[in-house]
Amino acid sequence: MLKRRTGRGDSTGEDAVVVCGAGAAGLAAAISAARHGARVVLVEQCSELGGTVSGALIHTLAGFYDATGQIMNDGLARELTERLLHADAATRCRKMSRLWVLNVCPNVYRRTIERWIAAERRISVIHSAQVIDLIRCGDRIEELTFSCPDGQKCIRPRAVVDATGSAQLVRLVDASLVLDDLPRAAGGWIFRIRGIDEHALDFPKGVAVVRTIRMAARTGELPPECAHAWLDSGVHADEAFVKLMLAPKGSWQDPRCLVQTILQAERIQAAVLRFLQKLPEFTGAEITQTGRLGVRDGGRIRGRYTLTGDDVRAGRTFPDAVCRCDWPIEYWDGEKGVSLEYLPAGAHYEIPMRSLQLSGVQNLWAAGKCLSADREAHASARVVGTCWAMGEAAGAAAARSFPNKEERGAHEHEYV
Amino acid sequence: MGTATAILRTTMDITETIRVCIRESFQDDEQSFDFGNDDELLTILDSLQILRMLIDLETQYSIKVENSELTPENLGTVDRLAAFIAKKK
Repeated sequence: MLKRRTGRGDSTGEDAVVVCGAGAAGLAAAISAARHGARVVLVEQCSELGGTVSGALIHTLAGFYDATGQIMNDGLARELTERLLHADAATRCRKMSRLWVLNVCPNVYRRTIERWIAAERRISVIHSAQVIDLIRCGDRIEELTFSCPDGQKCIRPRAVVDATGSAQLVRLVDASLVLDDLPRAAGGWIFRIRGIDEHALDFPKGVAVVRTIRMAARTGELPPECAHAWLDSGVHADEAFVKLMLAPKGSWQDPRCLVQTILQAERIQAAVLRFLQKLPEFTGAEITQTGRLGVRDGGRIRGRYTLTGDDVRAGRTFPDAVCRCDWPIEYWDGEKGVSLEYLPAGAHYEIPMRSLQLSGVQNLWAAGKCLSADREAHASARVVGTCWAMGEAAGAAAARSFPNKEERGAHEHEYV
Repeated sequence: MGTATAILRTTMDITETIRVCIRESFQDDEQSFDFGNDDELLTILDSLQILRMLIDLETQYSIKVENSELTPENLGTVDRLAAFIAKKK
């Protein structure tokens, strides 16, 4: 059955695995599919690669290590940590209470993955492009139409990985397969300041600065949204990242809501800088980089299995597990702030392949932040390291689904 | 009971309160998560949890901790924090 057809644009990328979104899950899916022998087309809507980490200035990468500081998931997740540690002497493993994270400059992350992708010869990248339509034939996606700076293009992919973070492809298949439930997790707005005194944020001075900002939000000296503001030391001694939490005013899918939130963030950012510059150790503070709005939960698919908060708490394992995770349920509520529910010491849970798959579509996987999970499980599983591991599994499965000539012949016969 | 013994008792009570606070931060029991009273506090809790615990302790003991008092000497370990709160009370 032909569902939709646009019939416009050039046809390219026959038989390729198409990965949409070049964030953590998409990069891993692309590299993994390429290393499994597939030709890969990586479609990214921005001009840069790296997704939320480099775009939203995430500098504390979670989900790569277990409670003892050992690698949580082998494979590409491990390879990435090794590349990042090698790329910059300032990259370091850091213990935050019982969790281990990787502190890395977001620009180092972006450069590292750009070099990595450029060296993977089976991957071609299309920047500033977005899938706008697709044709589904029975249980397969037969054609994708995407817009890019030089017009529209069509690809007849053998397999597709939706790593858009907001299930954009799955929405094109059927919008009812994506869950946008309320309340939505708050968005994050991070900006980087340099020129602060060295050790200005050393424990427990950082706690005092955060308390000062939050008190100012209560007294009206700063906007009320600063009640949950956070300051984190960066990778350099004179550097800090200021983190604001913004409650969505509507759906993240609504461009007006996005613009309003961004304008609000910019106003708060200016107020916070002026406030900080009055503190003795921050008089020289200047904003050197502003991230884009980080959307933690842009919608999750209704997959073959929905991972639940109870699965996370119980450390559930699955026969079709693709990776492990022990990150706490870290939920960002626009009103109440962040809450962290830790797993019991030493426990971890698994994510099944079925949480990356839809019923009824054979050649589509959704990996990363848009996995099939309830709000609680998502608040744990969405971290970078886990997204890399999910993406790797989805990319390998997509590459393996690549039919050989005989299978393709049989397949074509079926559709004639 | 002598003054010294009373202060010791109070500090011990506060230490226990702090330990309960820490365990509650993880919704956990002592068996699966052990820590010493002289362990660096930052290796037990993250700074957000420390901030929350401070707010709890301020309410519980009706004290006001000034930002200038947030030093490693006062906050570095469970023992030091307990002694600091005992002094503030």
